Amino acid sequence: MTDPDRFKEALLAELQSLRAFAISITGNVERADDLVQDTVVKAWTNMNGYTEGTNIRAWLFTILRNTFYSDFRKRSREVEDDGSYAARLSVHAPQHGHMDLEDFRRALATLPDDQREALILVGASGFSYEEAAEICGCALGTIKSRINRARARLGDMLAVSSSAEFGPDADAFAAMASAGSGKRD
Amino acid sequence: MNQCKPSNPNSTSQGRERDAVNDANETGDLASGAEDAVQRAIGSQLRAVYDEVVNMPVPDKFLALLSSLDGKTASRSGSDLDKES
Repeated sequence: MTDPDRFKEALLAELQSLRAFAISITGNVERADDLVQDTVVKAWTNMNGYTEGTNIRAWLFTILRNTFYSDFRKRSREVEDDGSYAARLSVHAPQHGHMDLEDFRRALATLPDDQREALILVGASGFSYEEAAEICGCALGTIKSRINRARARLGDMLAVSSSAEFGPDADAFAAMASAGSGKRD
Repeated sequence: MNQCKPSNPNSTSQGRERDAVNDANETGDLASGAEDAVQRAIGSQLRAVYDEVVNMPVPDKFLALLSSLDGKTASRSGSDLDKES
């Protein structure tokens, strides 16, 4: 039996992370909040399915992701307008949005969903490759290759945009980026 | 390519992450220094962009939702549940 008090405390501690992940996959704060709400209710109802001592964040992310793919994506497609996919993670906190990250946000938004998701899970949310594979329900090699492709693509895109904006100084960055990408499948 | 080791202190699996990072970092060729620089830049920008979203305040409705779920479990009355949802 999972202790409800400890479970609640752990769940509270993960709300910010859950919400950020929800925003990154829905691209929309309102939809993300609906998704988090459903996830919290499901998690609470199934708290005995959680094994204390294991990574609760991974457990919650799995529920959230499954909820999104089973219920939400269908529903959101109906109201999706074409521009909103570009909003992935360009949903920024009003006071904290930094202009120098705009290029990166734009580049991130153009990645295929599965690559962006893998990159965020491992590169930003603190999961191991193994945990990310479990959350996404795919093989470890699949996660690694998604992340490698995402990094290579971001490297290329950011090299192009920085050389366009900053002129010759950015050439070194561009050279590094092209040297650094494409060596692994 | 150490930048892909998450900086998140909440992570519970540092050892396994390091193994995974090493697995993915077996290229070891001439370009690896340059690749490191590019990938470090990508890693830090990714975390900066994501942290902005993580640090957004959580709306009170989630705290209320958890309280109502908790209240229902504790009392089994269920009367609290409808207040905030």
